[in-house]
Amino acid sequence: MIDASRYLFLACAVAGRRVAVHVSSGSETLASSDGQAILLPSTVLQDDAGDEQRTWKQVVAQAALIGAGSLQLQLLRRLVGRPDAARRYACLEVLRASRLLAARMPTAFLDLPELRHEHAPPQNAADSLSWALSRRPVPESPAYFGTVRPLMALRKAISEEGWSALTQQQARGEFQHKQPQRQFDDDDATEESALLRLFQNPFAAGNAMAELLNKILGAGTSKGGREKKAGEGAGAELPVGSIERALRRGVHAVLARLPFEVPDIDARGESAGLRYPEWDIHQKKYRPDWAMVEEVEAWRPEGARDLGEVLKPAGHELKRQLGSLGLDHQMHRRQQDGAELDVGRLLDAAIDLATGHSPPSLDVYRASRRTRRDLAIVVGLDISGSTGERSGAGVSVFDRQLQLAYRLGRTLNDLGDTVAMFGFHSWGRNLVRSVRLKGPEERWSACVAERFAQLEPVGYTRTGAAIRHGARMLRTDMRLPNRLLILITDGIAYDQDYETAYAQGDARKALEEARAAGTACVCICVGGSSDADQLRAVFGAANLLIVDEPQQVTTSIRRVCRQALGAVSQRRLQSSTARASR
Amino acid sequence: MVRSTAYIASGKEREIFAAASRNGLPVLLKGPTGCGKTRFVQAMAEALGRPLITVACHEDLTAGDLVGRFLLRGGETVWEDGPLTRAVRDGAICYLDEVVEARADTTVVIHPLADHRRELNVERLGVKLIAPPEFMLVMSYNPGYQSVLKDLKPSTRQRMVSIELRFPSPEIEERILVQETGIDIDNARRLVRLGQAIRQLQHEGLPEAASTRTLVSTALLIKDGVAPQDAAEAAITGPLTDDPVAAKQLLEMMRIYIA
Repeated sequence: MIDASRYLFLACAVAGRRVAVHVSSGSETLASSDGQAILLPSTVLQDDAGDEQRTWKQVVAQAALIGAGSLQLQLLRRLVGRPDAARRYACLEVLRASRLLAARMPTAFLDLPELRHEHAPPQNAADSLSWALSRRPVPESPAYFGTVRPLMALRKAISEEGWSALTQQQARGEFQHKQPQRQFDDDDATEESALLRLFQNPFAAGNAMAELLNKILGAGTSKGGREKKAGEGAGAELPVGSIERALRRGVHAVLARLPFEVPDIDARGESAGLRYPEWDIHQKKYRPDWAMVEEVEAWRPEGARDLGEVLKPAGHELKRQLGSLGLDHQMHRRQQDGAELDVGRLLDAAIDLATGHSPPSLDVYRASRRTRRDLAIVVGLDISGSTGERSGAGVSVFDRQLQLAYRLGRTLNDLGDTVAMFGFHSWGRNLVRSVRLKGPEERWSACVAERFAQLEPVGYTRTGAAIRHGARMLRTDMRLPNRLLILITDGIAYDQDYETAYAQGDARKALEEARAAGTACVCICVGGSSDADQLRAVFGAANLLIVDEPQQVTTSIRRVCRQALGAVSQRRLQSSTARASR
Repeated sequence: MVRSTAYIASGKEREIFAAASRNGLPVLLKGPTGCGKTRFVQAMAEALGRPLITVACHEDLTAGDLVGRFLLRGGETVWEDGPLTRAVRDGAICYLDEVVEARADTTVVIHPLADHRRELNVERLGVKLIAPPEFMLVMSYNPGYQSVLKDLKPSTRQRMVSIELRFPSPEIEERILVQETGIDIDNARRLVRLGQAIRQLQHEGLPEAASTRTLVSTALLIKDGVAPQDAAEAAITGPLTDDPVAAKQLLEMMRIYIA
């Protein structure tokens, strides 16, 4: 049995950024990727040791495609419904990528016979595409090159938009959550109307479904038109209608699956995620290893946003407020007064006196003062679709949350605390994503702002998993005595099979676990929340801060954090006293 | 085994250093750990024919440690020069390694030495030493390493000519490995590819990347007969991480890069 997680570093190194590696549970025989995760065919699981060779080659080939920028949506669109062309494209791109990234690819891969071609590979991905769509011969593609699955990548983009539309509707309380009794079929004639009914909502800004269809099918039509006009490549030989049909069918198949299943790759099988339990309030017991969190790098297919206006550093006031948090005692040398003598300094003073100098001051003591920064902080940022909602002023809750997270992280880091930050969103329990914004060991740099600019509000919120993940980071990666988890959310704990009482019960349980382990937890809600009561019930009024604008946290953040930290240390004190008296 | 001090340059660092030395300008070397800062200073001292005095700075290093101090010997007090004073007297290159680690009061002696005055004030002796033209001040600094609290003051930075060293390009790194260790070019290329790949990993378990130094160590072990896989494990994985999960994934990577 092959454990895909062991290829994680290999994949990340070749791709040049964080990617996940999964084994599919489907029937496909070729590896592929959606730009954030590499999906290996399930056949690798049955392979005996001799074929293990093939697994790493597949990982390297797919990672190279990611590293060389082969999975651009606008290019992949033209490969929808053309599996042969997709394979030709993948082959050409693997050849191109292995030249481009040769400096960091394994020699064993570059030495493979299939990689040794005298012909010059295409110059860029667009060249590969027109080559793949033309009748020009393409070198033979071995199975380990895998393929590109345009729909998998597109589906991700589409479905994220779709989900984001849904969560926005839910945020307004307009979505009736009903599990459909029947599954839609690819060729089902009624699917459109059924789906449309689901999406059609007089209050929704525009029509989510219509917008989606326009976007996707509109693109298909115009693409076809352009192809016809240009009259180049194999695309021109196909009737436009059939392209559209293929596209439409694929897209509908995807849309039909949209709200009710995990829209992304199947994350079952061996994978590199972390599993956390979840508390089932109805059964009054834990569901072990229930939610799977995978850590990914922030990545936006359309490129980074311009966040110059959003990510401004905070003023001095916030620094002043946060300055006194989590201080601990530290021994200081060369003090004017103190509990013990500083022997080295005392000798220096004696020498000064002996040589006829008078020491400027008798700083010959050692003293313990409360100066040591001893606080580890994890900021968890809700990046679910519901935060994309805009307020009256035209600034989205999402941007305000980004601003707050950035300011808090930056200020605490400047004060010398150990800070880690992550964004979280999810699509069901098997696909909770933790997007790394700043690692605990990492120095603050422009990279942090760049990652913020790659975030996009999509998906749902699985608060319990986010709390457990943040608490785990504090407990295992940072190991400082004072630990604080700051959750920035818009308050809607909502995910597939994760709602109302169940979600609240689980989040409350996750907080209890964290506090029992000595981690203080604080929740900040920007832009108000329709779920204030729910949040208060979960976090407790004392640990909750609801503000309209990021600047407003300045006045009360110290009080809230202090209280939370104080409650935890009180608890620690009590438990140690209880242990001692036993 | 004494390794050769020949230094393969990645950019214009040699020319800049030599010009700074001719004009009495102090140099600030920036770069990640293990990229060859100390090695470069050694090579330049040799090329310029000057003695080199190296001071590894730490957080308890005071101005007195640099300049010198009176020691009690019996009932007497005896003056002993610190490394900086010795360097000024001898016209040597004084290399302050990881200078931000030193206490803030060291800037008091560094500043007048680092600008046009080029003078060292030995307060305890009541003398001012004017540095000879041969004297040169070199400091190193690893920007990714220190926290924000420990950063060089702008007033210190401004006095310096800065030379930024990075990890060398693959071609140059291959040459370095071959020259330093005598390893064959194929193995050198494999190691360099592995190094390049590990530098792509910004995983939390790996705060530092595989440096040229670790690649040289690996090559030396291989040259001495250790199996490549074991050499890489001992010289790269071990020093890089204690995290068992990260180590396992690194090993898997190495197996593929070095096999």
